[in-house]
Amino acid sequence: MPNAKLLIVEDEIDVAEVLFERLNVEGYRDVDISSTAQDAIDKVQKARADGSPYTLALMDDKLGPASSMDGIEATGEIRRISEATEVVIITGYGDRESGKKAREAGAYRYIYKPMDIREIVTMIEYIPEWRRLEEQLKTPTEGRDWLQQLIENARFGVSIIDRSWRILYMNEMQKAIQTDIRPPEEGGICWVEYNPGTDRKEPCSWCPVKESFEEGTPAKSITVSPRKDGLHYYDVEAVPLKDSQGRVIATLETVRDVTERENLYSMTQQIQGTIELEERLKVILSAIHGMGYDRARLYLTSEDGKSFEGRMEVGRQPVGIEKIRLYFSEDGFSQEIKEIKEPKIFQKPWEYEPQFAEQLGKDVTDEWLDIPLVVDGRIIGKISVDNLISKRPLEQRDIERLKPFADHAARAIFNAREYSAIKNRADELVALREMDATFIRELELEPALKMITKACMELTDAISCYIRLRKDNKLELAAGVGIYQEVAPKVVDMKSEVDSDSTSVIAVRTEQPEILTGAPKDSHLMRKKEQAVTREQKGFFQRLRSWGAFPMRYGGEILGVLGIESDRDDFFTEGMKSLITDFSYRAAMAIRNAQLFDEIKRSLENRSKFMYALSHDLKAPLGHIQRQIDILRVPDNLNDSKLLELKGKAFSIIGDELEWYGQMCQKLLWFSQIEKVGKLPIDKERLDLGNLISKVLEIWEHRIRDKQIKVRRISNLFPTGLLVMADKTLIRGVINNLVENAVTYNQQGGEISVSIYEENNRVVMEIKDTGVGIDERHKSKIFEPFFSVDAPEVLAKGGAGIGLTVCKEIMELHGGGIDFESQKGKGSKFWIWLPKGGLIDERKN
Amino acid sequence: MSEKIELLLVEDDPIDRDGLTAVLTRSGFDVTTAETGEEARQKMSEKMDVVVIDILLPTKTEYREEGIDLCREFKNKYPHIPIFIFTNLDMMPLVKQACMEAGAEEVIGKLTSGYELIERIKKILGKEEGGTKDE
Repeated sequence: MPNAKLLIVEDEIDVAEVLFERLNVEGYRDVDISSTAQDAIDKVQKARADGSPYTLALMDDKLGPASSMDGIEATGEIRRISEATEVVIITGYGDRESGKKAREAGAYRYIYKPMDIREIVTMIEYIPEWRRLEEQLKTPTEGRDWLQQLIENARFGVSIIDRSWRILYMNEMQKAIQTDIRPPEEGGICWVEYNPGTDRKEPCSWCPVKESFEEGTPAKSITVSPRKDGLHYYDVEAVPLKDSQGRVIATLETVRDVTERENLYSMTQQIQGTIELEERLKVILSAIHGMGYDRARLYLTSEDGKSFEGRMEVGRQPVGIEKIRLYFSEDGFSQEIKEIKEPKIFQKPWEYEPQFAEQLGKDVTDEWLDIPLVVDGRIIGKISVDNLISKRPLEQRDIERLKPFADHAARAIFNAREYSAIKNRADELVALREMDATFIRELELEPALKMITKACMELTDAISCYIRLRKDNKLELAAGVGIYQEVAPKVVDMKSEVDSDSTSVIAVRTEQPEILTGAPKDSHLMRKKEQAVTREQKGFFQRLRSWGAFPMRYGGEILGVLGIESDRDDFFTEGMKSLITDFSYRAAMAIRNAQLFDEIKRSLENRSKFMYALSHDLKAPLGHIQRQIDILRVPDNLNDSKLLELKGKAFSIIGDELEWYGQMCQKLLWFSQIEKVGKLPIDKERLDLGNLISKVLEIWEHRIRDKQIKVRRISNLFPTGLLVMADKTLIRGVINNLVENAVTYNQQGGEISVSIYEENNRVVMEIKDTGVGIDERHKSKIFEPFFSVDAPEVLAKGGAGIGLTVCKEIMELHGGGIDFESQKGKGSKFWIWLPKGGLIDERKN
Repeated sequence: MSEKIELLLVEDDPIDRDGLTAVLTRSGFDVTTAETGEEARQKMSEKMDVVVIDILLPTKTEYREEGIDLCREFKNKYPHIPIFIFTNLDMMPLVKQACMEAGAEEVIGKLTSGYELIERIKKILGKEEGGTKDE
C-alpha cells in the first residue's frame, strides 16, 4: 500500500514536480522535494529524529552548482544518517564506474532516465523485502533455511535476482561461470544497462528470469556462450520466490554447464549420421580432437578381439600428426590394448622421435590418457589422447569427460562393424538370389519354401526358422528348419483367444516385426516348451533366448510370417532386423511367385476341362434342335397321332433350347467381361426376390415337370415385400443359375425347396435340392473359374463351370455373397444374400 | 417293305432319345432304348443288327464315359454287330481315338441329322436301297 514516505532530490524543479505528480497519481501522498544535497540531508536527519524516517529517496546523480556534493556523495551521507532510508540514484547518463560507486555509497539501485513509474513503484514497495533477503543470505550458514543450504552447497551456479534485476546473491560457482561474460557483482544488475545511449532495458533474449517474474512460474532455457576455451552450453532455470501473499519478489536462477552433455549429444548425432565404419571412426576422432585435446588416437582390435586391427589418429603439429591418418597394419604401440581395462593416465619421459623433443623443449614428459572401448564387457579397442603441445596436464576430470563419450563411441563402432558384416552377407545373398532368380520363378511352392528357410538359416545364424502362410484367419505352418517347427502348432488362429499372444499372430495383426528377447515371456511358447518331448527339443527351449516373427508382405498383402529363433539375447540388432525384414520381402515375392505358378497350373488344368465342357454344353442344345428338325422332316401321316404330337411339341422344344443356349451365351459374355475388365457394370433397382424367383421357376417349368420335381416354397419363410437394391438382370442370372443346377443335378421325382428370409439386416434366399450333391474334395473349388466337378459327369448334366464363378462375382459386386452346404448323394443347399432394402446404397447414389 | 432293322439306342438324354427314336421307327427300324449302361447290357442280344451309343452315361455313382466301355464289351461279345457312337464330344480327337480303339464303326456328332445317321447305318449294313424318303 502507498504508505511510504518519499523524498525526491532533484535540482531541476520541473523534473522534480513531474515525478511528484506521478507519485501522487499512484497514491503516494507523503512525498517531499529537495533541490540541494544539503536540504535533503537535513530533511532525512529531521525525519529520523522525529521517528518517521523516509522509506526511499529518489536521488539525481548530478545535483548542480547549488549543492556542495553530488548525488552519490549525498547518498553515502543519507545512508550513514538513516539506515532505514533506501536510495535509488537516477541518472541521465552514466557509466559502469558510476554504478559501482553508487552501490558502494549504499544506493540500492542506479537507474536511467527516462524512468518507468511502474518500476519505481515496484522498488518502493519491495526494496525493504529485498534488503531483508539480501542480508539474510549474507548471514553465516548455521541457522539458515533449506533454500540457503541448498544454494550454498549447489554444484552449479546459483543467483538470486530481485524484480528490479538487482543481483541479491551469487554463489562461487555462479561467479566462476559469469567471469568471462561480465564481472560478478553482488548488488549489481543482472543485465547490461551501463551503456550510455541504452534507453531501453531488455533482458537477454534467452533469459528465463523475465518469464519467471511475469508468469510467476519456473522457466527454462538453454544458451550457448563463447568462453576462453570455446563454446559452452548452459541450462538456465529461473524459479520465482514468492512472499506470503504469493507475490513474486525475486527469482532463483540456476546455471548448469552442460557443454559436455551437449557435445556428446551433437557428436552422437554426427556419429549416427553414418553407419559406415570408417566414417564413424573419423567422426569419433574429430569429435575427441574437437573436445580440446592436442592429439587423439583410436585403436581397434580385430573382430574376434584377439589381434590388433588398425589405428587412426588426428592431431596438431608439430608432433607428427596433421590430419586423420589411418593405419591398417600391425602396430607396436597397440599391443597393450587388451591390458587397459580402466581409463588411466600414463607418464613417461619422452623417448620417441628426437626431432620433436627438440621442438617441444627439453625434459618433455610424454603424458597420455587411455580409455578402453568396451561393449558388453568386451574390449574392442581404446581411445588415447594427449596434450603434448599445449602441455595442459591430464587429470581425473578428463577421464570423466571422455568416459561417457568412449562408451558411446564403442557401441557405435560395434554397431557399424555389425552392420558391415551383415551388409557383406546381404550382398552375398543378393548375388545368390540373382543367380537363382530364374530358378525361383520355375519353382513350385513347396521347394520354394524349403529354399527360403534354408537361406534364412544361412543368412542369420539362427537356430531355427519357419514360415507360416496365411489362409483366411489362420496361419498354417508351411515349412521350417530346426527344432522349433517340430513342436510348433501346425495352425494358429488369428481369431482365437488362445493364439492371441502368438508372435506370428501379433506380427500379422500389427504388420510389424514382433520380437521377444530375454527370458521367455510368451505364454504361447511356454506351453510349447512343456510339450517338448525329446532331449533335443528340451535342449532347444533351454538355448532359446530371443525370437521374432516378421510379416511377409507382397503387394500390400501379408502372405504370412517368417519366424526366427536365436540362442543369443543380442541377436535382433537394428541391422539384423532390417536385414531380416528385407529378406522377408524377398521371401514373400518368391512365395507369391510360387503360389501364382501353382494357381496358373491349376487354372490351365481347369481351363482344358472347361474347353471340354464348353464344347459339349454349347452343342447339346443345338443337338436337341437338330432332333426336332428331324421330327419335323418326317412326312405327315394322319394315322400317326404320335408323330403329330411330337411335331406339335417340336417348336416349343426348339424355343426352350434356344433360350437355354442364349443363357449360356450370356454367362459366357459375363464371364469374359469379368476376365477382361475385372468386373461387371451394375445397374441397381428395387427388387423383390420372391417375385424374381417365381419368374425364374416359370422358365424352368418344362424341365421341372419332365423330371417330376416337386417345388416347395417354404411359406413361413417366404415373406413378400423384402426389398433389395440390385441389378435385376444379374441377380436373375444368379437365381437362374442356382435353379438350373437344382433342376439339372436333381433326381427324377426329387424336390426343390425355396425360402427367403431376413437375417442380420440381410435378405437371404435359399435353394435346396435333393440332387447328386457335391463331393467333399470339390467343395473348396466350386467357385473357381473353369471348375466343374470331374468333367464328364458335368458334361452330361450341362454346366461348363463358369456359372458359379460369375454368380460369386455378381453377389460380391452387390455387397452380398453366396455360399453352400452339400452332402454327396443327398443334395445341396445354396444361398445368396444381399443387404436389406439397399437404403444405404440408395443414399450413396 | 423290307424286314425291320433291330437297333439298340443307348441314350440318357430324353430329347435326343425321343427325337432319334421318332425318326428311326419311321425309317424301318425297330428301336430298343436304354437310358443307362446297365439297362443296355440287359437289353443287348444277338438279334440286334446295330447299336447306337452315347458316350456320357449315368452310372450308380456318377456320369462317366460309360459308352466307350459299353462299346468295347459289346464288340468283344458280338464282334459282327456294328456300333455307332453318337455324341457331342465328336470333335475331341482323344475321345474319337478311344472310341475307334474300342471297336466303334464310326463317331457321329449329335448335330448331324438323324437321316444322315440312318444313311450311314444302312451303308454299313449293306442296305443302301433302304426305305428312307429324302425330300
